[in-house]
Amino acid sequence: MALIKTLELSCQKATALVERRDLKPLSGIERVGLWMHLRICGACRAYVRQSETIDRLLEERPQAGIDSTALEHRIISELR
Amino acid sequence: MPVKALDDVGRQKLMAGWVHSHTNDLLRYARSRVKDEATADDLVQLTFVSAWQTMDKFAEQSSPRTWLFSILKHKLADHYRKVYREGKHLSGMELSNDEVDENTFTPNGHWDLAHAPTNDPDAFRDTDNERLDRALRHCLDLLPDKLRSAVEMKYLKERDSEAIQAALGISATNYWQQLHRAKLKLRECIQGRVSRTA
Repeated sequence: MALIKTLELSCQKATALVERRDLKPLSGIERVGLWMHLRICGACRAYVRQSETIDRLLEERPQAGIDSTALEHRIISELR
Repeated sequence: MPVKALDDVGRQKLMAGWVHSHTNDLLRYARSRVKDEATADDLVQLTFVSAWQTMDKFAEQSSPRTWLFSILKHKLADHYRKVYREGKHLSGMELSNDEVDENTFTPNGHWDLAHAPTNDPDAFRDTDNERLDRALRHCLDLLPDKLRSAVEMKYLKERDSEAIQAALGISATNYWQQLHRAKLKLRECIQGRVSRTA
């Protein structure tokens, strides 16, 4: 029972670990704790999926066409 | 011909060609990463000023486009380092630093129902990319400056988190806690926007 208690995570802690594992690997205890938490917590499973979606969107950020002619003229006049 | 061997007219011609070929792509990249268009314009202009001043160092084997993008990313990182240090709050519309954090979880660390991710249906999964992207941009602009800077830096430095922590002058723990807070705010804000009229 003591072991279960050590491994038990709150949602706040679990979601923090999800973000941290992106920066550096989690310890064995943290990994097992997170795995156990995600098995029983649907909201945190949704958090993991949504967090990954946000990461992907942050990397992509497609941009619609824009007109840069004015800026090009401004830059070229600055370079002379 | 190496850049060094060019005379002034040759350099100007070469640089003008780069300005015409690459400004549009650089500007689109910059505008999708900073809050206002004028700042994006200035960063692209600064990129070309730097390129012009260090043109001799441009190695022929790398493409001008790659070189210019790496300068722009440095300018963006400088910009966000400055924004982070100043921590300025430009408008009262922004979410305050603690607002979401205090309410997101109950005192024992479980999701507060009003702030929890919805699992079934998952609003993110049922929304197309374009709409999610629009919501993301809107929500990024609402983040407090410090959190926005932490997020943007993560995607500029190719995830070299130690370099980012050094640039922002914060500890590793502080850095990932800020990313966690930023992600919680972004997630809740996006879910709210895409659920509203879905």
